[in-house]
Amino acid sequence: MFYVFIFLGFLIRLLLIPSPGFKADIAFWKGWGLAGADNGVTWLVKNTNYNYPPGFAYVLSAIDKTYALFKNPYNLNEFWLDTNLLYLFLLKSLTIAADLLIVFLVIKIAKRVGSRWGIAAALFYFLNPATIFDGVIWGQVDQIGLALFLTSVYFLFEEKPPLAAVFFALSCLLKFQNIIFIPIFYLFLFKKYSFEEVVRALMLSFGTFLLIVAPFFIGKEMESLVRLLTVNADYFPFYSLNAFNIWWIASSAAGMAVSDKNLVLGITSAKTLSLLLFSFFYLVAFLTLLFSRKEALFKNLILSCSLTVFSFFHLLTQSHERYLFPLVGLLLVLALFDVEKRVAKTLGFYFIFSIFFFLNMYLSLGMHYADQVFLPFTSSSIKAATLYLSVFQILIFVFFVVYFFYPKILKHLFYLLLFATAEVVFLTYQNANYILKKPISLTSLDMISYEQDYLRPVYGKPVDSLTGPLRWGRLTSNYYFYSQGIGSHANSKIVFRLKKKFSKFKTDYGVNIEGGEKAKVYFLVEGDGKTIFKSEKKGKFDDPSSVMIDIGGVDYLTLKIVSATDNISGAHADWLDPKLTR
Amino acid sequence: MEQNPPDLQPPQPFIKRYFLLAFVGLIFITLVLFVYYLYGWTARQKKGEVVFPAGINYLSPVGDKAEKLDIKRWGSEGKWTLAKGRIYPYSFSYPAEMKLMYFPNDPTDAVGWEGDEKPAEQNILLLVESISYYDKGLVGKPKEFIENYWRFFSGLTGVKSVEDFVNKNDLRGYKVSFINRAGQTPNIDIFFVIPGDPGHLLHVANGLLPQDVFVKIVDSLEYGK
Repeated sequence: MFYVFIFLGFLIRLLLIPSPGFKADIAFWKGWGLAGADNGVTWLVKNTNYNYPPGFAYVLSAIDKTYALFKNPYNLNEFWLDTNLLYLFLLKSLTIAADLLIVFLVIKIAKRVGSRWGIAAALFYFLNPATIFDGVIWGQVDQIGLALFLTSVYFLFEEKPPLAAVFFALSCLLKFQNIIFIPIFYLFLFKKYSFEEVVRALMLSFGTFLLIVAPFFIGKEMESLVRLLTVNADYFPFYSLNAFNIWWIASSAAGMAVSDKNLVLGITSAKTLSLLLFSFFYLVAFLTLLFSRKEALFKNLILSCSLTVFSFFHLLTQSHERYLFPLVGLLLVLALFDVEKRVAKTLGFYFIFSIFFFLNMYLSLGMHYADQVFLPFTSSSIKAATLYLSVFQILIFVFFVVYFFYPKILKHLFYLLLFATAEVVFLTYQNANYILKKPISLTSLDMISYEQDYLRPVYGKPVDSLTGPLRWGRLTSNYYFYSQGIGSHANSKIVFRLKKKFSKFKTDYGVNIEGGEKAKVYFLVEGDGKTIFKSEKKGKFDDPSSVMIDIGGVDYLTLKIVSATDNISGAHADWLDPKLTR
Repeated sequence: MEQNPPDLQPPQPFIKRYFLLAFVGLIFITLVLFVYYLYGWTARQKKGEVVFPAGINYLSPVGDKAEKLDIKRWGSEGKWTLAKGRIYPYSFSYPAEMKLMYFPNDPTDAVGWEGDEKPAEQNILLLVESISYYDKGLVGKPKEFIENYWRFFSGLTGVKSVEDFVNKNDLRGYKVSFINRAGQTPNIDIFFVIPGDPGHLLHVANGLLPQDVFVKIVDSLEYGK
């Protein structure tokens, strides 16, 4: 019967391969893969908007090279068709292979832990609508990252930490989300083995990393590599990218329209608050493993990883709908550790989790590509549905925390309260001047958006500092030096969301000493789109000027620097020591 | 009990099993290929949709690695094809050798073309300009908008000439030479007024197209027919 079900799951996948899915993602795979196949991985990273891990670039390049063996990828009107069957087949074959590997791993892990539920768990994964939807319908590759991570976990079970370290590094190099497991993974090694084993594993992981990124060293493209490894830190600065979580609710189901730089608690942004919340639960996961008994180490490893994924999805801003995917495998492995009478309960929980996760992805795909799913509802109905789904998904998260972690939270309450206190102290410190109605620097807020004709605005330094450390300097206008401010350049527009919290805005302004002699600019301040201040013309050798503006009731504060000449060359201009007062 | 002689022994069970598996596998593969063939036939009827990746990406080799196109011979064999807008009802003829590219979900309904030196995103042949996007105050003032168009692009420094222009299909507009940062006027830009639509203009630019090809494309341009 097992093979019958596997055959069924395989058949379903094969029949769904032709689905165009999330067309934008697949178009990105094609373009990036073609760039990698034609010009190499370093060229791809340097010259395109590639923002996936370095290891994945090889996969995409290989797909396009294979495609080129059968068809011409430069036939623009064929290759870029969303119904390009050969490309879809090549891409989704990999996700199907990853699914089959995960099936194999779940069964092997079950045998290792002595559970007789391995086959059932494997089939739960393989026939899970969420699994099928993510891979062969959407066209995403989350199962590749999960397969590599579970391979690493399997080798841990097999007491082969060197192999586990290599595969763990590979899992991070093909799916960035797996880096959230780094502290937990190495903590496990420390607890299970020794510090020496951790060092050995770190060296192997690092060696794997060096091997994958070797072309960047050889091609002297380290800058591109560093940019690639850090670019995603704030790539989509929004409340939620269709992840139905608390931030989706907070944005009124418009997660991609609300910046996570919005102030939510005094001058604390949504992003900062989300990081604090996530850190707390990450500590819970960490302590669970740190204080674990040896005999429960494996189970607590999976448990900690599961809590990390749940927290990552629910508590952080900028979450995608698919960020829950690792749980599709992890929760099954977790179930294998349960005593017989609890396995059915855990699998029942898994079933409910899977349904809602599937619905999250289904609605998300439908909101972008209505032709890809059956969704005969109005947009307001869909919006309402997403909010209900968010509530249910939050309840699932809460249930998971209470069911699996309540005793552990009580056990480590002292450390958790200590950490929570530290977070409160941090928030209080950050908001101290705001609470006391003292002036606060505008640079303690994040910009909601900016536009600039040369480089980008930078806090605390002149704009040319972005060209490299040799150009780092202080903000200075005609030799008046400032420690705080925004280094900018004409023509620029910087927007802050104040949520009407402030009454006064005071700032100095002037052309930076690195500016050109012919540069002349105007400084403008807008409140909710209306100009409330325009400066006199300022040039390089003019002393900085100062202004205090009434901004009571202003929600969006916009700072503009406009060139007073037809040429913006040399128009380095700064907002110096800008301050807000309640 | 007598035993059968060896050559009359029944087939071993494992041979039967593999034979059955191979038969099932063959049926399975045939079924899948049939479904794919059906899908391929349906897809060819539906034609699908070309989807390009957003942002700075890669569509085909450029520069030295690009396929060398004999642009100068385009249209010389008399084979011209009709192109139509996807959002706006413009149409024009272009050489059959030329590869046009549309950009999905593009509100300007732009069309680019593949050159051997530059990709299509940098070879925009035609787009529909929305005046209010640049300056709401210039809606309904096409000539004034065109004379100030260079101000919206940091790569341009001024305008050399603005001449009245009419094509062979009686579409009226202006032929413009903009000055770039090097003080040169390498391109021809023609802005056509859209009848009955004061907020938009049809903007055509020659880029690296041979002069005679560009002239024929411009003369073939129609709107709303």
